[in-house]
Amino acid sequence: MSATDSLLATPSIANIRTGGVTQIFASRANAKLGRVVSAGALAGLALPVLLLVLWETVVKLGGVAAHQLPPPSALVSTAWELAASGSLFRHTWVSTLRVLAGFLIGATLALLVGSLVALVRPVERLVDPTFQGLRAVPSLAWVPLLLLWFGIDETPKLVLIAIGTFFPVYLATFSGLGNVDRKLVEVGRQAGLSRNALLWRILLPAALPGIFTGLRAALSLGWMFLVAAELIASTQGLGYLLSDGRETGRVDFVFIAILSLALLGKLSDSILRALEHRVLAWRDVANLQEAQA
Amino acid sequence: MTGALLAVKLKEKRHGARTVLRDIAFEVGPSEIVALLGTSGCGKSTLLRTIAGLDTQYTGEIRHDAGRTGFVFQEPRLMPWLSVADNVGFPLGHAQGGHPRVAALLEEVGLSHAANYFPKQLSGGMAQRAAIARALVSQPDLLLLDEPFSALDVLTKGRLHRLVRDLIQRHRIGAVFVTHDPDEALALSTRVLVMPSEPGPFLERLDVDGAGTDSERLALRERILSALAAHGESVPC
Repeated sequence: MSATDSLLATPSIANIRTGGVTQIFASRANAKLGRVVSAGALAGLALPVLLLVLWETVVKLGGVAAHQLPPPSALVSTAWELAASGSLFRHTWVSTLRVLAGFLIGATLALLVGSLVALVRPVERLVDPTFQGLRAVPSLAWVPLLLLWFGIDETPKLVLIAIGTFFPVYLATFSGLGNVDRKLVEVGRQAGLSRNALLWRILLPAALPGIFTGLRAALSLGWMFLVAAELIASTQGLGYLLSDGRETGRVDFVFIAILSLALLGKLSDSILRALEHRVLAWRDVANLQEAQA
Repeated sequence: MTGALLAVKLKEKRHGARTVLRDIAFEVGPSEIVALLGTSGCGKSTLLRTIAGLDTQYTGEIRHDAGRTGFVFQEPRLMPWLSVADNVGFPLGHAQGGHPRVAALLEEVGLSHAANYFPKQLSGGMAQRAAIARALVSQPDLLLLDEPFSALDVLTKGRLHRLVRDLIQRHRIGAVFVTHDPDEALALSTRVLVMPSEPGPFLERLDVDGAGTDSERLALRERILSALAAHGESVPC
């Protein structure tokens, strides 16, 4: 047994040549080894690092003009400048606050409205068709209207992000509550739960996995609508950095803004995912990776 | 019978155009365990759900003199997001896993060590024991059980039979349980009511309590089987 383990942990050429590669990667011995040196994280980094090295080399060798594609080293120094002047932090902070505020407003309203529509039949008949219609409007189409109505201050930006985040959460709440297992609801009815208690103690917890999926989709949409709002009219934020870079021909600004958005989007989703894992620890879900092995 | 916890006089119960139950009458007193025995699809679960108030459309009368009713479903039906203790305390209110009665019942059903487990970590027998504890936590006078042991292996089933019998006797409550298994009905109940496969009154009412010896039990078993067979039905599965 231990002999097999060590064989699998140290892949030999013969092993690979005979098609043992899949076996090696699927093996538990390899997974254990991987955890020790965190091979998973390294594997995820390998491709970006390789691309960066390639990028730097190609630009330095003159394959691409540096003013169109600044090399990573130039980007690092630009980022350093922007960070030192405090403007990178300010842009990031402003954008993050906008997304957070818009997301909180949109998601909260969606939870309330979604619950109401799912639980009260007359309300569903009354408003759901309208919401389905509004949902079909590409959210960017709201931008001119919002600018006309609210000017170019914070309000139209927050409203746009709120609209963008509303629909995924609304849909997840509505369908999540509609799909709760009748058998669990019966347990509540048998215990004599009130409508209110039924909602809080059975329906919402049961719908929570779906709602979390909606929240995560909404948050990433929030970043998308943030950029749309900031590109059009703003004096601060990462979207402003993007349009500023375009107007002044600073490709490096554009790259820094894109990278910051990538990092922020990933970070905020990771936070939400960590929260999801904590809150939904009770879920009895299949581990697909293990199921494949 | 005076002092009955439950008096059922059901004239008719329909599902749409189809009659499911007709002319069903029986009573349950304290410490009595009544088995409703019948073949699959004879309406025994519907009868139990009607008694519990989960199905409300019927003609006739169902009188509860019991204060509270506990229900054990065919599946455990635990809330997957609650710990075992919170599940058992569920009828008492939100986050009642710390209630002293919960701890006492977990002890009684042998799940004290699993109080903080999530339902996904339980075996079928453990989950059903938690469900039984949940049904008892609000101190019901009447316990309704809908084939609660049908998905369990023989050994677990036997253990749970003894457990439920003890609990019912110790808590001095009445119980109605549904089963398709004559042996289970004889093992657990004080009275067996045999339901016909077509809607109509009970085919047999058998007092099991007096039957102490094996031969007496065998005789009862024969009577149950012949009652079912005489009605043009195959032996219940």
